[in-house]
Amino acid sequence: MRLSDKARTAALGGVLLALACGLSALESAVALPLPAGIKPGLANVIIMFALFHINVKTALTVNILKSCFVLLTRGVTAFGMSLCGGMLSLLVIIILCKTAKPSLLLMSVCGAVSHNIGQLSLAALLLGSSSVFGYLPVLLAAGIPTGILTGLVLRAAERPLSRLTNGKSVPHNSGKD
Amino acid sequence: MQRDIRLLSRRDALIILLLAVIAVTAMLTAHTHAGAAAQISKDGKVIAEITLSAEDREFTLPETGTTVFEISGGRIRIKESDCPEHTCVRRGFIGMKNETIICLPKKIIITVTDGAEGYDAVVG
Repeated sequence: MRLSDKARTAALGGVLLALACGLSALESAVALPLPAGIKPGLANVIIMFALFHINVKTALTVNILKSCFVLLTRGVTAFGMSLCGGMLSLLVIIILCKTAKPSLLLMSVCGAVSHNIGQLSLAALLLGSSSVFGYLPVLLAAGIPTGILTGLVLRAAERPLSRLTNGKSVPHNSGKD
Repeated sequence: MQRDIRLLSRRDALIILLLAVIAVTAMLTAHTHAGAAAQISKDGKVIAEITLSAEDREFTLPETGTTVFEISGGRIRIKESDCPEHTCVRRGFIGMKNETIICLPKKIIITVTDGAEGYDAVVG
């Protein structure tokens, strides 16, 4: 990888991180009239863009740093939820992408659902109670429309976002990931 | 990773539909009958068991500080809480057996139960 490529990937990662933090802050500032604290998860659009159009490392970095932003702005509980949900979601999407290669909407739905499962598991752990899994049906049902939404937004945003990558794919990982 | 991923294939649409059917079925079958009592726990310990059929009221508990609970029409909700996100407040009223309200930062769980005979204690 040439140095300029490295610099460009880093700069692009920074722009995507800013976008992800902005979307995340917007969602927590504007409380939507949805039950059980359900949010659309628009920051996932950015994470998926990073994954599909840059590389795994950038997606992972943006994801972790976005959770750190949540730590600074919303406290430690929200940080844990963000990190746990985000990492499981990303892991599931990466595995799907590497193996079954499903279509975009299925990946974003699975990402949204696993995000919710990750958060619920952490909540169960923190509370020391499995009664939180009573939320599971609601969160499962919520993950489907929100996953479809983020998938559609990603498809619509891919073209404008790709201008950041200069229309061409940022240097692909040389077989490392 | 790969570029140019298809938006949706017929197979994947069916999988999503199947997931939706499972989720909706789970939602509809999970909470089918109204509960009679609510169990409130804090830090994993049950601190109160409250009958929901009694008169509508608001109350606080010494263990949970400023959190305000409200019972109305056989249902319960957290009306006010000083936690940062207020997810528990936005959850609204619950009244079906096994429904839960969770306040993660304050480690409060409310679970709707059938309420055992002789165990109902009105706390207020």
